[in-house]
Amino acid sequence: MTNQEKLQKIIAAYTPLDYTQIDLKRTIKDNYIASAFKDNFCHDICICWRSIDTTQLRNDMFVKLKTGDDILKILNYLVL
Amino acid sequence: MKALKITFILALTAFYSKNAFAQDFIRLGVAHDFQKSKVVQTFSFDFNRTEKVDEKKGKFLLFDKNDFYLLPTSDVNIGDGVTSSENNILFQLNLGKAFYGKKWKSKDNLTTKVWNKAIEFNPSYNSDKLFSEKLAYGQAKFLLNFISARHNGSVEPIYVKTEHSIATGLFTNIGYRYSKTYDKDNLYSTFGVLLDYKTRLLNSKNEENWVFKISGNYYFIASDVSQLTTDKFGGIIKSSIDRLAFTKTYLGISHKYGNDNPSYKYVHTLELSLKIKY
Repeated sequence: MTNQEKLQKIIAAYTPLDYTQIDLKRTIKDNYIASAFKDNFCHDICICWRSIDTTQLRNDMFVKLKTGDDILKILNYLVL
Repeated sequence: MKALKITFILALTAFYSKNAFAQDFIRLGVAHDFQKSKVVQTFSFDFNRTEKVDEKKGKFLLFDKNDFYLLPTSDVNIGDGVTSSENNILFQLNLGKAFYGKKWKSKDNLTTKVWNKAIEFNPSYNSDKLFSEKLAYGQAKFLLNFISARHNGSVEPIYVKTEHSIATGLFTNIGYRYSKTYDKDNLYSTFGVLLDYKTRLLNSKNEENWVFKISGNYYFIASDVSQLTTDKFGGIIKSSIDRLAFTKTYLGISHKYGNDNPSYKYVHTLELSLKIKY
């Protein structure tokens, strides 16, 4: 399973959509994940990719990170 | 000297919270004070401050690893509307461990729910704006948080329609009080419960249309400077309703009743306000 699919599945768990419908170019706002769920969302990502800097991810998640692609960029940077 | 102290604290607040952006707002309002039965104007603005953990955990964390987190918070209310706010200064360092629950969905697949738990130990400093009542204490807290979000439909574009969040917990404060007013110090110790409830109804553009909030705490005063209060119990309850009027502008009504640290001053107000987020 690619990183992209993993991330799509994580996001899909918060929505009624099938994971193939998750567009990682779309902004992750309330329409995907209710703001109150963002802590859980970060937790899910950190569980999936252990090597990620969780402090940085969490802080970025609320300020800089807008789309799923932004998260993938971090992942690609880490994994490759 | 006092002015210097306040400036220092403001600078510290600004420094600590420069990384949180979303909470900024200006609030203009008129409040009726039942305690003194008079009408007061209120004007408040929120600095770039980090949110309190009961409001919403997250935003700016100093450290986070394996769900252990470190979160500095500060809350400075030093307006002239003494009666319409608790008017105090609070610094806390939240050292906590979060336990994130497993999400589950309703049968129609449109609602996602989760239970989260957290335990915290928070070294805290609390004083009134003139620094005549000072509290330094450790707070131990257990929080239980239920979140539920309902979506509009199962085809694109989906939107969150409603969201509920209920946080409740137990806390205990043990520390030291210095009271300049009575020139006395004493062991400060309380224990009690807290509640934080929030419902958001969103419109088709995915903006908050209505926001309902109730938050409060109720605690037993085990030990304190005896001249300050004769009450065995203390607590405050705040409720508010906000309605989106124009873009980024909310009309709101809020009610506060109770007393709070550091000086157990009673507050009972009903406020009508205009809130602009920027």
